[in-house]
Amino acid sequence: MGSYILRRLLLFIPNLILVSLLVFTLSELIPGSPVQNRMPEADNFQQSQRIGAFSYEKEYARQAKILGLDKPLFYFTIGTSGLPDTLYRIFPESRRRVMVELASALGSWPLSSELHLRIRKMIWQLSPDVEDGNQEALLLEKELRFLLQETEIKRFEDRLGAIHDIGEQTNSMQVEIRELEALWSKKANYYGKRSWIWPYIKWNGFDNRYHNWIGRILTGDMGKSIKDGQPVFSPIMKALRWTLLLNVTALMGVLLIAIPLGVYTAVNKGSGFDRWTHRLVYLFYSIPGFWLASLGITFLTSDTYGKFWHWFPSAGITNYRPDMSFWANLEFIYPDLIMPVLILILPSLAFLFRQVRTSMLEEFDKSYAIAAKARGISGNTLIWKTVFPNASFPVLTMIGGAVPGLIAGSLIMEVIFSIPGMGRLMYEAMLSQDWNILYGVIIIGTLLVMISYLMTDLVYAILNPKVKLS
Amino acid sequence: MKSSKVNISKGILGSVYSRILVILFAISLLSPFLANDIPLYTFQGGKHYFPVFGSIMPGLFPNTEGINWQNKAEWGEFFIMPPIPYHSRSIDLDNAPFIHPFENQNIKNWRYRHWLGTDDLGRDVLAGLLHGSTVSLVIGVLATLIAVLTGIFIGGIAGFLGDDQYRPTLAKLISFTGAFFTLIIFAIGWFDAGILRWTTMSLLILICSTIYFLGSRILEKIHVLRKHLTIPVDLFTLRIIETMRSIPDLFLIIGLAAIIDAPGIFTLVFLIAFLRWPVIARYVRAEMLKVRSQDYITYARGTGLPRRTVFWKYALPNALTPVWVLAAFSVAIAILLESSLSFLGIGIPVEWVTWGSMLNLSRRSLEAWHLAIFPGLAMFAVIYFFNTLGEKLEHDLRGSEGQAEI
Repeated sequence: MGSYILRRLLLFIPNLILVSLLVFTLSELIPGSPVQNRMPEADNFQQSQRIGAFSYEKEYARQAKILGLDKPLFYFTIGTSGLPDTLYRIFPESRRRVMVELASALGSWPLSSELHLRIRKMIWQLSPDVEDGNQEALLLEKELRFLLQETEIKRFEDRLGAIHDIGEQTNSMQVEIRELEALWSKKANYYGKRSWIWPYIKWNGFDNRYHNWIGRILTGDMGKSIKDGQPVFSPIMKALRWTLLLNVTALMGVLLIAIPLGVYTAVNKGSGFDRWTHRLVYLFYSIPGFWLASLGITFLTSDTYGKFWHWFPSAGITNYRPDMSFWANLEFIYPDLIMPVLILILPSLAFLFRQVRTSMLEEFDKSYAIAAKARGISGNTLIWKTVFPNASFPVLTMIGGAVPGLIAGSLIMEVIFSIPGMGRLMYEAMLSQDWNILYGVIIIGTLLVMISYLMTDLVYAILNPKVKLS
Repeated sequence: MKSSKVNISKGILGSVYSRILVILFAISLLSPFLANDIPLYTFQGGKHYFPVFGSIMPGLFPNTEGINWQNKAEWGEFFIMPPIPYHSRSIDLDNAPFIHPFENQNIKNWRYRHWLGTDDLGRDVLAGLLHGSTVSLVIGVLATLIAVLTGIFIGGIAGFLGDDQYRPTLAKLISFTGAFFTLIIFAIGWFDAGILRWTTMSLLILICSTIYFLGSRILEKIHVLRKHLTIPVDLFTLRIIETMRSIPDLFLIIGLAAIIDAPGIFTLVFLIAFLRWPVIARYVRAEMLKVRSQDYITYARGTGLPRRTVFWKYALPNALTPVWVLAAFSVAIAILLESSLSFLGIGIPVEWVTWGSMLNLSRRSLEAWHLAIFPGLAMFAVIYFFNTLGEKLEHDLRGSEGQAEI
């Protein structure tokens, strides 16, 4: 037994690693950069703080460093030898992309970075004149900045020609422009696309983004919300209470209804009650929860269709008192929770009811049950003491299996009924693109399901002496 | 066991299930002809025009191109409209918002009646239901198809090889690892360098398979490397399946849909298939574990047939028994997922009318009872049908009433 539990716990670890890899990949694939949200608008910034030519980029790089983005992505990097292995240190990402594209077009990274370095140096040299409001310098600076965006050889060349003309007309920076043109004209010497074929693989050590990220997650730091800059862990935990409240209540409800109903219909197999319950439950199994919720809200929460149909308060947690504790509030909010919990119960009810009924029927046919009957054991003793304990084992595994469905189902219920649980938190985070919350919720939700599977397996192993698990 | 396919065809073909299935697909695939705001056929200037056909297959009916059929003046004197003269997206502000079926409608004649009412913009609910059926069924069936094929392949291999059957020689293992990592590293490197194309990729695969075959032949000359090593394929696969199973599916799909910024049917198909294959793989694996210990597999292997032949010809076809049942349930679940997502407004373009999006509109007004009832009823009917089909298949195959543990 001990070894089984240990083995089961050990199997938990690869699952966690796989989930963390999946979520990390997701969080890296999100459109846009997390730095963007910490930065003021580019134009405003440029105007309000004209300290240097590249102040925005510098600030951007500084913020990226604070976020730890200037580290390699993973424990190792695979890339092409044509590009340097320290690309990730170039910020902003748009500049990195332009440089890589230009390098790819020219077939040479050194040339691309040298060109960029020189152009940036020229803009830097121009910046005192630009700040003085010199029109010619402004014009040249603008052209140079455009040049920094070019990735096609032809257009780069055209733009370079235009800059040459401006330089001639205004008599400024002619030496630098000539040097730039000289470098550009030698681009064929730099061409080395052959080296791009060879990939490299490099070990980055433990100071990488994934390692830091997983380390933070393990200590409960899931980053900050972009909405209010607060750590996302506490809102997720607050939301978790609601989700747990909903799901635990629903699960209790399911068990309380499904077990007696399943046992009763199994005992009275073939009776009218059995057939009708079976049909009804089967129907409920196919009803989408959010349809029931929509129907319930439309018909049962107002006087629109007559006073008689006004059974429930309107959707949403209306009576929540923030000055009191969560549990003390239950007294006021429970009417708001009745409908969502009922709707959450129905699909799982069908699922569990049929399992109870089937496994009871199977157990009734087994020789020990028949022998018990023959010995004169009957009625409730036979059902609950002899047969039910054996029939409950498959049901037990089902409970674990029902948890992901319940959690997913509660997401829609939370959205429809405005219950501030994890599902709603996640939905709103998705709409406002608050990624840290989104991925935090995925991690916590997955942990919940994993723990429920684990508990089910352990309880099963402990209770069931028949199963020899090795 | 071997007669499972015969059973299925006997039980399903020609029964009421197959008829409903045909009707469902006919409705969903023909929905542009049943509900559209342009004529099916017009006759003007001595010419025949088929605007609806033209809008679907422009190549076959080139003479309908370049004419704005939305403009009623183009219809000529003689035209035949589809049974429901509204497109799911056509806006009818005269009958908005939320006109219910029994209300007085502001229409020319009974042909233009909104039989099931309208939504907030006056879009016809019945036309929306028809369009929604196309979206739901196409997504449900395609996603299930992809999930089933992936699941059969991965689950079948995991179950067939188990933890003890895959015993490559050290030489093969080394050359495979070498070739595989070469492939991966080069592919990523070339992707970085921007030279990864179909041609270069196939070249790479060719080179790497050559490395594998030559490498294993050469390395097997070394005596030490001829030792066999057992790879627990099943254990690895099961870890992946269990991990996928432990992520609540709606959570994962929202996370994925949030980053994939390309709403549309095929995005959703792949997302749902990605979520569903582990379920199929899990069942096929379990079935395969049973099949591979059967006598006929042992005999087949004993005759010295290659393992590949035993797998494809004898083991896999017999392990497909649960797949039919699962596929039916999977369509129901895929449709439910699609509806849930479009209810939440995720994954489907905003302007599309689907069952989920219509149901979501019902929350805007307490008086829109028709929007709360009809789309949900359509959803329920289709899901109920596929669940019943699954039950029926299971009953035929196993001869017992089964569980719908999906």
